[in-house]
Amino acid sequence: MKGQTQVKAARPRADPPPAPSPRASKKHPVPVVVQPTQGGNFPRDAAAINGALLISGLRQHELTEEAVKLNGRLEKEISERKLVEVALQSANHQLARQAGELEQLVAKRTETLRETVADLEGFSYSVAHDMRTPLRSMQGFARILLDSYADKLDADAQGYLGRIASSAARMDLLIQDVLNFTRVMRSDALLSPVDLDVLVRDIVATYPDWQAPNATIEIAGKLPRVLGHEGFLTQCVSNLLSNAVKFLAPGVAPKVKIWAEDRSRAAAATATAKAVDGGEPVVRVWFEDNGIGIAERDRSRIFRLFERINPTDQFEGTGVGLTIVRKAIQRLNGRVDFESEVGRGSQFWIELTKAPTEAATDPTLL
Amino acid sequence: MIDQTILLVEDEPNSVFLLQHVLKRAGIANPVYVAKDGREALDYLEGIGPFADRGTHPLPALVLLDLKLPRADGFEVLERIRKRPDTQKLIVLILTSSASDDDIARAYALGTNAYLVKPLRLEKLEEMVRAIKDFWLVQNHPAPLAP
Repeated sequence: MKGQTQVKAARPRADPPPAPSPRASKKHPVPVVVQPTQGGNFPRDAAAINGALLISGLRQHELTEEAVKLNGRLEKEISERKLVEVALQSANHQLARQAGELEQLVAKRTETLRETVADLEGFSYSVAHDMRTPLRSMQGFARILLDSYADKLDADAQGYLGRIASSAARMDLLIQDVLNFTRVMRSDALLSPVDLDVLVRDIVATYPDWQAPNATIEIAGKLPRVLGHEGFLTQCVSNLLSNAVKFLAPGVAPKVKIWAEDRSRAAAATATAKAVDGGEPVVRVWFEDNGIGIAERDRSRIFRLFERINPTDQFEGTGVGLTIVRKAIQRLNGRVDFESEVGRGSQFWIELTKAPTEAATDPTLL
Repeated sequence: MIDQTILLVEDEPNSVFLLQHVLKRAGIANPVYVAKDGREALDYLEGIGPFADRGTHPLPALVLLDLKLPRADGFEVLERIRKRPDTQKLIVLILTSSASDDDIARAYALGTNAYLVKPLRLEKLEEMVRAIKDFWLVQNHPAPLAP
């Protein structure tokens, strides 16, 4: 319609507007376009303008309301985002600071630990070297008195000197055992294949007291090769064997039987056992004795440091041996335990991972 | 049997007494000079000060050397002995309380002839001293000392 004033209100779109900045929508309301008539018909134009203003005012009111609502939502969202951002930033800062602090703490602790280890090493050196010297003197001078002055001493005096000498000897035994224990604690437990058969037979051969007719130690079959550490395993086996031949009822000759039992199949049979053993071939080595046995109530005490089940005057010992065994086996990722009945002997066992067969020990295959 | 002087380097008086006691019991009649610290042992071996006269203080047939000593420790003494041409062929036996692997390795690296750990029991110490006598003073032929 030519010559007519065109009034168009830009209609709000059905879909949400492309997120205008809230401020912009306040200053520039939705435009209402008024085009004057070509002849300049004033009343018509004025009416059109008025109409347009009216529409625009109404719409503006409507739109402003909507904008305010939208605005509110956006502001809320923005402030929430800002909060999150601030929180994130502070969390990041905190993390960085904590990481730094942690690093410092680790460095400090490592340094302290290093010092402690050095102190401990100095300590065990001192124990080995300095503390045994006075013991040697105690034992030595008691011995000289017993040897050279026996005729001047009555039986009591000789008995007392004997006690001094044996106490010194016992103290020395304790010191040596503690040193053995700290050695197991300290040294690196690098696992390598160890031939248990050779190791056990060598250990048995070393001790005169463990030979017939003093004792019968039978090794049934051939013991396998295991993943272990020769020094640690020597400690384990000699401690287990010396216990086996020591704790006997009076008048009983020690009889020990050693054998290996393959636990790999048993481990594969149950899922839980497999999980525990990681499916690796496990071997259990048994040490069965004919000793006095261990009461159930002593089960938890027996592996503890310096714990002794039996009185010292009956059985010589320091209460360190089984603690060494347990610690050494732990460090070889193995297990140790026993079955026993008072008066019917004990069966101690250690469980270790089998070494790969000779052919498979090629490092590229490991 | 070689009857030259034995140099005993040991600072602890009780140990000195007990060692001399078993030396006697083992039938070792050699004169024994006791150096109470590492410095004195080195002065003796190098003929310094009161030890300048080799007539009264001859180079020993055997050095029994403790490791932990005042002023200069056993390792230092051993090292010096092996460095000097006039003493490098001396027979040095470490006689100590320490059975530490590190000490043993270090002593051999510095050239000790043997490493002996003092046993606790006097009877065992006597056995050890008898073995020293039989091997080092009776069976063994030492190197000629003159450079």
